[in-house]
Amino acid sequence: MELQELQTIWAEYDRKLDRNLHLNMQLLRQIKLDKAGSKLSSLFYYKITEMIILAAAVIYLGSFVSDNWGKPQFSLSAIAICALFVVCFVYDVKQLSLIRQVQRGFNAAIAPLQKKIEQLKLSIVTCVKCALILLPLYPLLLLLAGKMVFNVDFLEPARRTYFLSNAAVAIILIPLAVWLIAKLSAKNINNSVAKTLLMGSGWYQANAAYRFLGEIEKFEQEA
Amino acid sequence: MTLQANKDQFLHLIQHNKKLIFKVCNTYCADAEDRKDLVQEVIIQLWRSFEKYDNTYKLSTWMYRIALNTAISFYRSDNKRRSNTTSISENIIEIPNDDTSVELNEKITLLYQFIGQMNKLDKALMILYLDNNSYKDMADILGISETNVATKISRLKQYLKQQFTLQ
Repeated sequence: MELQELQTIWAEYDRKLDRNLHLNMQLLRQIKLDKAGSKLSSLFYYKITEMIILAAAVIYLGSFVSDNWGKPQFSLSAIAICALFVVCFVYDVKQLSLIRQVQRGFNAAIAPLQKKIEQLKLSIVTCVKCALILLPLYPLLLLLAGKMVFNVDFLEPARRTYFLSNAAVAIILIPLAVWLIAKLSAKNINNSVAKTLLMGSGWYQANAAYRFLGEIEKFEQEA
Repeated sequence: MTLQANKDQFLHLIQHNKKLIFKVCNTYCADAEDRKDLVQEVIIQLWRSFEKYDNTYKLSTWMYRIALNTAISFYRSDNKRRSNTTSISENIIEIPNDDTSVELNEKITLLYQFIGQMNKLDKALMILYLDNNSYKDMADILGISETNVATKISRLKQYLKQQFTLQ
């Protein structure tokens, strides 16, 4: 057994060890990617459901506007609410696109995927901010609900006082809405108010996927 | 340096040198469970010595010293552990479509087997020698003279040559 042959054998063993360690890293990456992927899958279907509901609402409001075109208190209210729903729908389309890009790009480097998830999270937060705009606009929803469900007009003299008292409350809600929207800023995103506001928005799934990808990136940087 | 920075630096060190740790532990422990324990023990000892690391020594010298000392003590302290060697395929995962020839795979297994039959100091010498460490570094790590290293290596090469010839 010459020295050269010994070194060849040992070098081959070294190579096997390298491949084994590389395989371990691949397996670990795959496990974390599967976890990230599963979080994003559930978010994907959640957004699809949300979009179906928004689309149905926009179509119904559109029909309502055309039926009540001559009554500006209803048509303008419906248009305002519809506009917000359309904005949320557009954001949902963007979010779905980002989710798909991340899911298709799992073989790519982690950092670009993380950036896309960051964009996704930002988009989700913007959607929640849009929903918060509805808070001081709730009298419009009251007006529309009154017409759609009970066929009553809350601006009729007999019911006007009720509507105006709600409008007064809505004015008070403006600073509350502004405060809540401010709570959703980047620096406040981890406080309890923001966490409560983001519940059910899909933010947690996106954040969980982001965390798993972060763990992979950390391993890959150390390897 | 803060504790977190220290920890990050240590983890980085372990990641970059995990092959060294695995090689030592594979050589000294035939049993898979014992090997896991030994790997943990080596990492613990490395962490304990991390703050005392003197950078006049090479990092690899420092790591080999601690890993080998831990492995030798670990080996010595448990007389009930099985001393039979296992084939290398049980020590590392066989990768499908491995392009290593069958003959070379068999030689790896045999080399491992023969190293496994050596005494603890000879095992250490063999690992260090096959990892292309200089005689000076080997002497530093093991605390013996360079002449002693050279003599032992020559004897061990003869031994391996005989063993392979007998196969």
